[in-house]
Amino acid sequence: MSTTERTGRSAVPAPAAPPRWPAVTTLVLGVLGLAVAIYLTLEHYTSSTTLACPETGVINCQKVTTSAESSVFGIPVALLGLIFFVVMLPLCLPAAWRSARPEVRWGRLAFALVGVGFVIYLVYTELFTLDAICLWCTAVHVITVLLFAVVAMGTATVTTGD
Amino acid sequence: MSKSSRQAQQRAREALEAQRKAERARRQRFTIAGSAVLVVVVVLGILIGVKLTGGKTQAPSAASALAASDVVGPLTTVPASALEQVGMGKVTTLPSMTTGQPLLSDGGKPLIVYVGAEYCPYCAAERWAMVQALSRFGTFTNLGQTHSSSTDVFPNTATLSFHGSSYTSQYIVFQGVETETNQQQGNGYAPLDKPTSQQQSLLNKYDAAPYVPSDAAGSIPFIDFANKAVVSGASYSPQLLAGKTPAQIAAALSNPSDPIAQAVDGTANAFTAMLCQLTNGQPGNVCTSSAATTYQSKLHVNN
Repeated sequence: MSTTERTGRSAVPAPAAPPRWPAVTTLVLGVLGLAVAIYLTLEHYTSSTTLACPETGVINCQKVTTSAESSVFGIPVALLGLIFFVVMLPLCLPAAWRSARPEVRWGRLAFALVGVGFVIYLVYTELFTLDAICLWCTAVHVITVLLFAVVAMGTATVTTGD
Repeated sequence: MSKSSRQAQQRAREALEAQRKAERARRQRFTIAGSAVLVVVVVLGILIGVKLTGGKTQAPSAASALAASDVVGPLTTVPASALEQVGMGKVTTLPSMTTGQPLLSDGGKPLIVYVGAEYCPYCAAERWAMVQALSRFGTFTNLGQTHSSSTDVFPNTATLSFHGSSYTSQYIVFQGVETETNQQQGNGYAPLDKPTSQQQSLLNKYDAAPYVPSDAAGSIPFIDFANKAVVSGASYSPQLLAGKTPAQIAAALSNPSDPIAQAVDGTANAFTAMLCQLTNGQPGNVCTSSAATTYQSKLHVNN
């Protein structure tokens, strides 16, 4: 918008409407993450009755999900993942992306950052402490990293007054 | 130029400056966000790269040795009274019976095939019952003594190993295959016995649905009782054996009230019930005992 001699109105550019792609992408990622987190939490609390080893040694979900590292401060990691997505999902709704409230914007970014930090810790634990990979956990890790990337870039596109 | 015109130009310049400032701020935010994402990707990449190039140093654990006499002796000579008292015991998973499958035999005798691995804690649990049951029909020599992986679930579960052992019986033939050791190598375990093409075919066909539950398909331990019954997975939890030495486990089997005896002797009684049907009730002293008959109604071999 520009000022014209004719109108004489203010020429300060109005904030552009936030792009739709962060809202759509994070919503899809959030739903996918929540679904996998629900599955992993159910698996954690309804322990498998299959008393068997998979034929491959490295891809071993049971070894990961039943290890001492599967809980942090007594809270199952699967449950922490579920809590993460339960909190993250409302923050990724289109209405939340349209919100002008800085606490929503920064809260979403901070939460995504905490999530990705935790993913780095868990990947390290899987690779170097447990020596085993859980594919379902890896799915959650990938979703969380993508979520962080989209939230970070999406937040950068939003014109802020704070 | 009129005053209003100058004011308009001033406002336009201010607006342009504000736009430039906003654009600079936007670019700065993008740079920060992009850098943060890049840092995350690089950190994860480094972790994976270090792992793939052999960053893990695994402390070696003891390889298998020949089983001690204070283990094999008590394991293979559990008093009949103790076995009878245990009866069905506490067995989590019974063998799955097949229907309409041809009898698997070798030299006219029913062939029993086991495929497992020394690192596998569930195989560790299953071997105790297998050795006990099979010893009622024949004799093992050179059984190994080892433990499951120290880094897997139920770490260091004490057990025996079929690798390098032999079994002789006038009633049945037994083939035991341990595909891997408990020694880590790269991202897995060091290879040990390679299944023959026949053993691999049995594994491919019977360690899959509908012969075993779909969630256990492709798992070890796998036992094929002459194609008449199959086992995929352990019959009881290795947790029962946690912290026990091989000698302690073997000694516990003669105490019918011991949870280890309930699980191991109970499983061995189930295996014995099936083996007796495959051998047409031979040897008589084993197959007529109540320990052997207790499971016959539940595990009926179909022809």
